[in-house]
Amino acid sequence: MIRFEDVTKVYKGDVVALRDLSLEIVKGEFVFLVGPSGSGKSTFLKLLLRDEVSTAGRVLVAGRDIGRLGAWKVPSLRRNIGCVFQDFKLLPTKTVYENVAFALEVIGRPKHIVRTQVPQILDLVGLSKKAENFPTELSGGEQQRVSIARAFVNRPLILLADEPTGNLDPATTVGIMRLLDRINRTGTTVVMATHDQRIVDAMRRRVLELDHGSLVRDQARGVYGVGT
Amino acid sequence: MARLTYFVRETFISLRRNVMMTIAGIMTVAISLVLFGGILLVSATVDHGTERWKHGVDLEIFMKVTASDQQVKAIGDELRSDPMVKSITFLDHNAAMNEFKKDFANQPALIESTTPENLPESYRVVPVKAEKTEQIRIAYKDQLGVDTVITAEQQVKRLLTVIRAIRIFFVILATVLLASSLFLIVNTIRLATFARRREIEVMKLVGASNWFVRVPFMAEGFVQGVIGAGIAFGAVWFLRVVIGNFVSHPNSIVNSFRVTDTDAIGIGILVLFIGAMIGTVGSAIGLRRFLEV
Repeated sequence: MIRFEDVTKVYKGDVVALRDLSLEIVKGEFVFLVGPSGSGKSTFLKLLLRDEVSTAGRVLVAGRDIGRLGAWKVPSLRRNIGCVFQDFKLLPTKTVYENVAFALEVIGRPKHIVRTQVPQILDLVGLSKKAENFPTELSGGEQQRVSIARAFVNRPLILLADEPTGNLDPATTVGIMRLLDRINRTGTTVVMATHDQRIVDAMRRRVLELDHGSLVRDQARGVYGVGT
Repeated sequence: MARLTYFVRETFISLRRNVMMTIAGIMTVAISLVLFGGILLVSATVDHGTERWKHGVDLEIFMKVTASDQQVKAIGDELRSDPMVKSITFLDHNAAMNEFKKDFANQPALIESTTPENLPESYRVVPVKAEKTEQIRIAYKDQLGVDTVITAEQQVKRLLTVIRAIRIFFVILATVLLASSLFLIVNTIRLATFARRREIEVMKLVGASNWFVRVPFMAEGFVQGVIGAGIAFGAVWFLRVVIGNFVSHPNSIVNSFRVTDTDAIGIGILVLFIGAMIGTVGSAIGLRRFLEV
């Protein structure tokens, strides 16, 4: 599903963010991306979203070299990749329902699809009762659920999560992880960048560790700290 | 259909959000286009009255309708060999008919009842120096086959010079104003994208196509340009009526000038087109910074 072939990314001023990275993530995997700040996690995710293009090497998503994708094809790539962030990125002027519906409307989905899909996905994340609330009226955990609903409503092949629990307390975090696990069980590939040691240790999933832009660990059923 | 509703809704929400900027944009477009359209209309009016006096033509020798081909040819030969004459243009019956049709475009019945043979042939004469005009007139007015010789009046000549200067001034003014309206629209659109940067970020993230993101903003600029141009169109039409009344006054020195509906409509369409262009180009420039993928 995702394949990095000798990927190097150098930013302006000779800052090397990723160095000769090669790895493969197959369909349906759940992968943790760990490493200290500045190790290249964000760059990794940006390359997948084609927010950035690799300096050398190839990034393949579903067999396609996305570095060579024309600008007009980037939207169709992003429709296949859902995205969740630490700061949720919800629109404060829209209700929960509208926030999720927005993701379908702006890619031109017809109204009847929006009307059936949005309630379904809100039910999946357990927020059916809060559909008419505004994001500011929700707790952090609930806001992150909305953001996951929005990322997943279009049924993407891949879900990227960048520190999705960074702003949440441990109890809420468990709920979010259960949700991501459920989404993963529907066959969606999940890649989650995190600093949260307890989650990684508890989930026992594949762990990729980056340090100074290099892959220093790739463990099938890993824990956070071991091996470094 | 869902898309269209979305675009219309988003465009008007955004126009309302920046009401003051929107009005400023519309007003500058309108003012610059009024000036632009106005000067074009005045120019067109004057052009109609002075068509024959262009390119240095100072006098026109009309032959009698009954003049024989030999007589007409003789005058032509004489003019060509005349040292006071720089160049001539010959208008035969058909050319005269064409001129006539233009002059009386508003009176189809008159055109209907006229045939080319009823209209005199003529020579338009450019003298080597303007001072020779009177001399040439006297030399030819009584020749065989010549009906009459008319000369450009000094008033008309002076008017032409003044109009030309005014035209240049107004075109420069209108261009400067058009440029400022472009900047205003660019700015309005920038503000609009800034106000909605979070939405734009989300749209790009979930894979909205670039055009989908852009269209509401483009439409916003387009609407501003077209409304401004619409106002200008109205003003040009009003001006056409005013000029029409003025030049049709019997004692007016400019009663050979005309303004036609065709002129006003043509200029109106041009004005609308420029307005739409300014709006669209302005928003395209305004969008560039925020919408890079």
